Amino acid sequence: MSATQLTPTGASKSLVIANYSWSEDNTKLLIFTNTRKVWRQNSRGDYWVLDLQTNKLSQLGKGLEEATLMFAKFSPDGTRAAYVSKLNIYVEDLISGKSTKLTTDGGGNIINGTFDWVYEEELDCRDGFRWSPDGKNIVYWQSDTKNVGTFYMINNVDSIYSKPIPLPYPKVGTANSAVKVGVISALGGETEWFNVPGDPTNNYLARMEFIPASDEVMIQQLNRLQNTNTVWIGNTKTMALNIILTDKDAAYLDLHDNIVWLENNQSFTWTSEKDGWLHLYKMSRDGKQSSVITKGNFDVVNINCIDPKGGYVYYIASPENFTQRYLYRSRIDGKGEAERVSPKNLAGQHSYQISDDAQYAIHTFENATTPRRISLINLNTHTEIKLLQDNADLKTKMKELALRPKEFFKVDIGEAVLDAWIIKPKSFDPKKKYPVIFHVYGEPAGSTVQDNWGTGDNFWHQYLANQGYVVMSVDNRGTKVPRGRDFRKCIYRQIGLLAADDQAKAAKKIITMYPFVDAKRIGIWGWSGGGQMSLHCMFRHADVYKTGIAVSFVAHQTLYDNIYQERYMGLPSDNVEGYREGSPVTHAGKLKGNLMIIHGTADDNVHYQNFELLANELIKNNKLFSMLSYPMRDHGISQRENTTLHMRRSMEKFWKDNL
Amino acid sequence: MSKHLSLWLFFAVVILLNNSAFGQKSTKVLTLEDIYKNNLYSAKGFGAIRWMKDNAGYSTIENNASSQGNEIVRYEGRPS
Repeated sequence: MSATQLTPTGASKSLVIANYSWSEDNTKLLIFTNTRKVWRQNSRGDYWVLDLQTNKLSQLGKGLEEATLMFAKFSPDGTRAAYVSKLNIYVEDLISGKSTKLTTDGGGNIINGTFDWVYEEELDCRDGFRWSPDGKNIVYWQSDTKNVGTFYMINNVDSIYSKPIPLPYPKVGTANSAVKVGVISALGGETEWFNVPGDPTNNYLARMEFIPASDEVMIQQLNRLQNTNTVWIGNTKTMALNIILTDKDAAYLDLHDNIVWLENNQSFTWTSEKDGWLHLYKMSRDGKQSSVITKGNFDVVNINCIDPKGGYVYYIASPENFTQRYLYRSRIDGKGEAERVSPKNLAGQHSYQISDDAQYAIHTFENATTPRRISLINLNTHTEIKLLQDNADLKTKMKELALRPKEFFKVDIGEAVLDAWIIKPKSFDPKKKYPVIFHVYGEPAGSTVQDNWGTGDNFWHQYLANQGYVVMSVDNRGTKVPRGRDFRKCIYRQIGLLAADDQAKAAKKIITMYPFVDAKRIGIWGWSGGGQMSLHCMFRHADVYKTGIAVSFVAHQTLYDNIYQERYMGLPSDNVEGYREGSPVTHAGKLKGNLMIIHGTADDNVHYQNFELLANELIKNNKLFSMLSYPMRDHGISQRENTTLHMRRSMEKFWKDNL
Repeated sequence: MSKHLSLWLFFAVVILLNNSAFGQKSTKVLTLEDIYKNNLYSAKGFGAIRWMKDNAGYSTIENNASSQGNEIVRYEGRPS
C-alpha cells in the first residue's frame, strides 16, 4: 500500500501511520493516525479505511470532532466498523458511510466503551467494547464516576488566572466508579445489562471477552482486595450468568490475559501461581478439572502463542537467570518437559511476535551491551530469514564512546541472594575509593536489574560513571522478577518497608564485598516507586546513605490510587500501621543526609501533593533539603522545552555538590 | 622477517582488542546534551508488524524515501 494510496483526496501528504489492522479477509486496512495522548498512551485520533478492492480511502466518523476516535475495529465480516468518540459508541457502515450512535448517555459522569483513569492505569483497561462473533451485537463496559473523588491539578503558567484541572481519581479507601457490562444491537436500541452480583463500586470487572464463535462472554470480576477472581460466563442472548471458576490467593492476584479456548470451547487456558510458580493450566469449562501445561520450578513470564493445531504453547521464561528471558515451549497436553527454543549462544533477553501457525516469528534480541536486533526468523530452526533492524549506527556510536560494560553480580543479604549490576568509572582503579550511586525501583510493578538494553537511564548511568561514580542497582524482594510467588508477594501489606530494608542490607553487604566502595559516600536515586524507596532509605537508613534524589514519589501511600495501593497493602482501615510506617513522610524527621526532591506539578498519576506534603514535613522538622518542581509536567517530567536536559543537569550538580 | 611479522600481528591483535566494543580508547565524550537533547543514543525499533490471517504472509510499516511518506508493505506467502 503505497504512500499515494494512503494520501487522502486533496491532501499533499500521506497519512502518518500510528497503527493499523486488517479485516478478517485481508481486503481492507484500518489506519490509525493523527493521534493524541490519553493519560499514558496515544489512544485517540483519526481512523481511515483503505479498501484494497476499490482502492478507496475513506475517513471514519466524518462530522465528529478531529482526533476523537478510539479503538476502531472492523466487524467480523468487514462490512462495518465500530469506534468510540467522546465517550459514546458508534457503528459505521463502510459502503454507505452511514454511522449509528449506539449510546447517547456518554459524557459527564458516564463513560461508554472505554474506562476511567484508574482502570486504565492499574488494570490496563482501555478498549472497552467487543464485536460479537456474529457481528450482530456490541458488548461494552460502562463506568459511572459519580462517586469518585475529584483531584484538581492547577495550571499556573498558561494564563493570568490559575486554571484548575479536574480529574476523577479514586484515592486509597475511597469509592470507585460503578462499572457494568452490557449488550446492545449493532443496529442500535436499548442496552441490556449483566446483573453481576456484588457492589459495582467495590468490585472490578477487569476482563470481558467473547468465547469464540458463541454468544457467550467470559467476565473476570476481582473483589476490592484483589485476592479473589470470580470468573463468569454470561450469555448475551439470555443475559444469564454462571460462575465457572473462583481463583484465590492469600495476598493478591495479578490479572493474566492468556486465555485460549480449546477442544470446541470445552476447556480453556488459565494462568495461576497456585503451586508457587506462575504456570499455565488447562481448565475444564466447569472449572472443576485442571491440569498443568507448563511445569517445573520456574515462572512463565508471558505467553507468546498458544497453537492448538501444533499442540504447543510458546512462552518466555528464564529458570536459571532471573535477569534474562528465553522462549520455551511445552505441549498443551502436559506431556514431556519444557523445551528451550531460543538459541543457547545468545545470552540476554529474547522476545517474539509469533505467526498464527507458529512457524515464523519476529524475533528481538538484546542484552546490556547489545541494542535491539530485530529479524524475521523460521521458528522451527530459529534461523534468520531477514534482518529488519540491528541498530548498527548505535553500536558504532557505542564503540566511539568506549563505555565500560554493565557487570551483573549477586548480593547475599542472608534472607535472599539478590541480583545486581555495577558500572565502574572509565578510569577505574580498584585500589582507589569511589562514591556509589544506587538506582532503585523496588516496588512490585517493575525491576531494574535486567540484562537488556533498557531505557535512557542506561546512558545516564554511564554518564555518571564517566564523572567518577560507581553506579549500581539491586532488585530487592518484591520486585517483578521470575523468582516465584513468594519472592514477589512477601512484601504484601508492607510496601516500602521490607524492600527498603533489603536495599540497605544489600548496600552494607556490598561495602564489605568491594574495597573500592567509599562507605561514607553512598547515594541513592529513584523515580515513582523508586522515589518512595529512595526516601525510605534516606530516612530510615540514614546511617547508610549520604545523599539521595527522589523523583515523582509517593510520600504517603493513602494519596495514591486505590487499585494499586490496596492490591499490595490491603484496605487502610485494616492496615493502619502498614500505611503509616510504609509512608516515607512518617519518617521525614529522621533525615540526616542530603536530599533533593523533584516533581511535576501536573502529575496525574502520583500527585504533586505528595511533594508538598513531604516538603511541609521536612520544614516542620527543621530539615534542610533541595526541591525542584516542574510546572505542568506529568509523571514522566518530559513535556515542554528543555525539561529533560534541565532535570538531568540539576541532578548531576546535586550529586557533584553533595556526594 | 617472520619475527617482525609475528610482532606486527601481536600489536595488530592488541589494537583490534582495544577497539572492540566497550574496550576501545575513547574518541568521543558522552554528554547530557547528546543523550537528552540531541537524542543520539535511542535504539530504533521496527514499524508495527502484522501477521496476515490464514498465514498469508505479513505486513510492515516502512518509509518510502522517494515520497517521504510511510506506507504499509505486505509480504505475501510464506517467508523464505
